[in-house]
This record gives sequence, structure tokens and C-alpha cells, in this order.
Amino acid sequence: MTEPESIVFVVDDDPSVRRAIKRFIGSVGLQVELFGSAKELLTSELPNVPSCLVLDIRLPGTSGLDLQRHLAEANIKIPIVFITAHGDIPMTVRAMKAGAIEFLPKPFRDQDLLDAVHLALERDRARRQQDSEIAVLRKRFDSLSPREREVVAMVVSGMLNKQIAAQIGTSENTVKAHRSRAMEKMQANSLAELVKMVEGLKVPLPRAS
Amino acid sequence: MDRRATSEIERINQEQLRQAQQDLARVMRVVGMGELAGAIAHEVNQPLTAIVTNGNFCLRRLDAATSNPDELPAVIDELPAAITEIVNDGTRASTVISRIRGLLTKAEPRTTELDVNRIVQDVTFLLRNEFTRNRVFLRRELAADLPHVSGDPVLLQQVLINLIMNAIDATHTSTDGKREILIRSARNSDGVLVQVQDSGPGIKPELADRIFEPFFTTKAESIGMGLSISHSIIESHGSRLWTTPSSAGALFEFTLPTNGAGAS
Repeated sequence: MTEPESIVFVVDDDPSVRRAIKRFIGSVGLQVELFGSAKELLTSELPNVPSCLVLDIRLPGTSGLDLQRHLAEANIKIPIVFITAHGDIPMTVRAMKAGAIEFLPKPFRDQDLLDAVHLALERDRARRQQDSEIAVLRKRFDSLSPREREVVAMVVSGMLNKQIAAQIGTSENTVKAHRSRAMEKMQANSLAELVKMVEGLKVPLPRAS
Repeated sequence: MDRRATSEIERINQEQLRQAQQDLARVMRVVGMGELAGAIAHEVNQPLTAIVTNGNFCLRRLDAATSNPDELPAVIDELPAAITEIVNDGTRASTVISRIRGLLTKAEPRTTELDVNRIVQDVTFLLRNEFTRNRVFLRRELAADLPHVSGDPVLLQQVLINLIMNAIDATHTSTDGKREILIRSARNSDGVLVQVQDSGPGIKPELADRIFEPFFTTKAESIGMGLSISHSIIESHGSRLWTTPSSAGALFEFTLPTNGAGAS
């Protein structure tokens, strides 16, 4: 069995609604997994592939909105499409502010659900891609020596080699050597590229003087 | 779909119905019609959502089979299960509705002898926070020594809760700013008369004929079932609920027969 390309998780307490959504989303070739409650979802192991959540607001126990908060607190960044039989405006605002992709009143238009699910999967795919790029950069950055990291931070914050040399008490040539070794390790071809990489890593920078 | 699966669905539906019914009964007693509207909406919307989704699935699959005949055997294989679910969910939705109607109007009439003043006191106590929150002054003029009447206390409470909640809503649009509700009980030739009067703007004469119709409402957040249901409940007690033109606000009245007369 090969890893699925992506999965749609559906959480709804109504078995009929769950089965109907699975049948419908499944018919466009997406893999679907069903859960009857927030707890069921939280206690199962979610495969590490692009995925999204189709989530009912009104659930026994933990509500959909509470589940959204739990996931955010646990740093699980799965995009959420809410479905609800009677959503009010404050509820919608709360869900959307917390990053929901869409908020669909039941019964929803089939195309609306498909569009929302595709958008959610696309977002998750992009986010995963970005996360893995950052992980690679992080690994490269971690391979720098403490001095190289210090020099990179200063370079990125806009200091000249001369200023850096003065600040860390060494010669300009030594700074240049640190700098080019760091560029090499980071696989950065230009200063602009290095700046972009370090920005993505959110490295603390010294305040430029 | 095999029979085991169908009977499993049936069992789940029954369970959900029982649950819905219990919830509704509780809600009715405690809060009244507003919550009820939400509960009905939810209970009916779930099967409708499944029906719409399964229906769309069937249409899409038929569409696929039309444009690509190779798909036909697979589609013929898939459709019966989806259609069976549509049928089951349709039945489920209609059962929910008829149970609700049964619950509201003919819910096993537990007719007992009861004291109308006691019911008024119970209900106004239950709603005390509503009066405070809406800054409504409640006056009660309850006649002493009323005869006992026959009726279902839970259903009659629901009628009173509904009339009082409507009255509270009406006082919000009171023209002279006065927020007052008067509940009166008195003896009359039919048995016991109960009146609920508010200090609101009253009922527009052109709407007076329609206010007891199901789904008639002048409020954005209401489904317009409260008065219709209350009317049916009083009718099931062999009596009637009516409104009387009044110089001050809306006046709703109903009578309840004394022991032995009329109650079903």
C-alpha cells in the first residue's frame, strides 16, 4: 500500500452526514477518514501527509471551535473547513479569525465543499513544503560555528565587515573568511539570498548601529 | 446495502430520535420556544445535509457514467447504497418532525387536577431572571379560591412561558417606555380564565387574524411556531386561546375547564 497523496479528515457526530460526505468527497478521488467526535480525532495518529479537516461546530464533548483551539495550542497546523447546522455570526467570526479556510452552513452546496477542501489541501501542501525548506536551512545554520553565526547575524543586520571586525575584535580579513565559510555552509550564492534564508529562520539579530 | 447495515442505521436513528426528544422536552420546560427553534433546525438539518450530499453524489456519478459508459457498472454498483441512505434520512427527518408535533400537541396527555395560580407562580419564578434582565415589571392579579382545572401541567407551563416571553419581547417596543406585564386569573362560566397583557404597542389589527398561523412571525429570530403551538395545546384541553383588542398592549386569554369538563 502506497502512502496516500492527501487525506481529508471529517469530524461530525451524525453518522449519516459522515458517510454522505465520505462518499461525495471520495468520488473525486480524495481519501477520506471519518471521526465521530473531537476526542476520536485527537486520540488517533494522523498520517504525516497533506491533509485538512472538515469539522462540524456542534459536537458532543469538545465542540468544533474548541477543537480548533486545541489544535492551534498543540501547534498542529491542519487547515479547517467548518460545517454547521446553525452557525451565528459571532461563531463564524471567531472561526475565521482563528484561521479557518471556510465556514459552510448545512446543507452546503457540493461545489462549495469541494472548493474549500481543495483550497485547504493546497494550503497544507504549501505550508508543509515551506516547513521542510526551513528545516533544511535550520540544519545548515546549525552546522555553523558560534563565531560564524555571530558574523552572519551582523552581516544580515547590515553591518560592514569593518564594523563587524571592530565589534568582535578581529581583523577585516578574518571576518571575510568567516563570512565566506558561512555562505558556503548555508549554500547561499549572494548576500541577498543569505538575508532571505536568515529571515525565514527568524534568527535573533543584533540591533544595527 | 445489506439488511444488517440497514437495521443498524435504523437503530442509530431511533437512538438519535429518543435523544432529540428528551432534549426537546427538557428545553421546552426550561427555556421555551427560542431554543426549540434551534433544536428543530439542528435535528432536521442533519438528515437534510446527508440527503443533499448523497443526492449530489448520485447526480455527479450519473453524469460521469453518461459521459463515459465504462464507468456505468461502477456507478450502478454505488448508487443503491446512496439512494437507500437518502430514503432513510428522509424518513428520519419526517419522523423528527412528527415526533416534535406529537410532543407539543398530543404528548401523552397527563391530565391531572391542577391549580392554575400555582402554574402561574411556577412559571413566573422560572422566568424571574428574564424579567430582571429585561427590566420588566410583573404584576399578578390571581383570584383566590379558584376551582381546580383539568390539564397537563407541563404543556400549560409551555403555553404560559410562550405568552410571557412574547409579552417581554413586546415591551421592548413599548411606545411610552413602560415595561409591564400583567397576569390575571379569574373564575368565569367556562371554568378559569387566564390573561396575559403587556404594555407593548399591541397587535396590528391587520395581523390579528394571522398570528396563530404556523410560521407566522414578525421577529427576525423567531420561527413563528410559539403561538400556533400554544393554540393547539389549549385546543387539546377542550378550550381556546384568543386575543382581545385592548387599549394598552396585547392581551391574550385562554380558559381552562374545571374538573370533568372537556379535557382530552
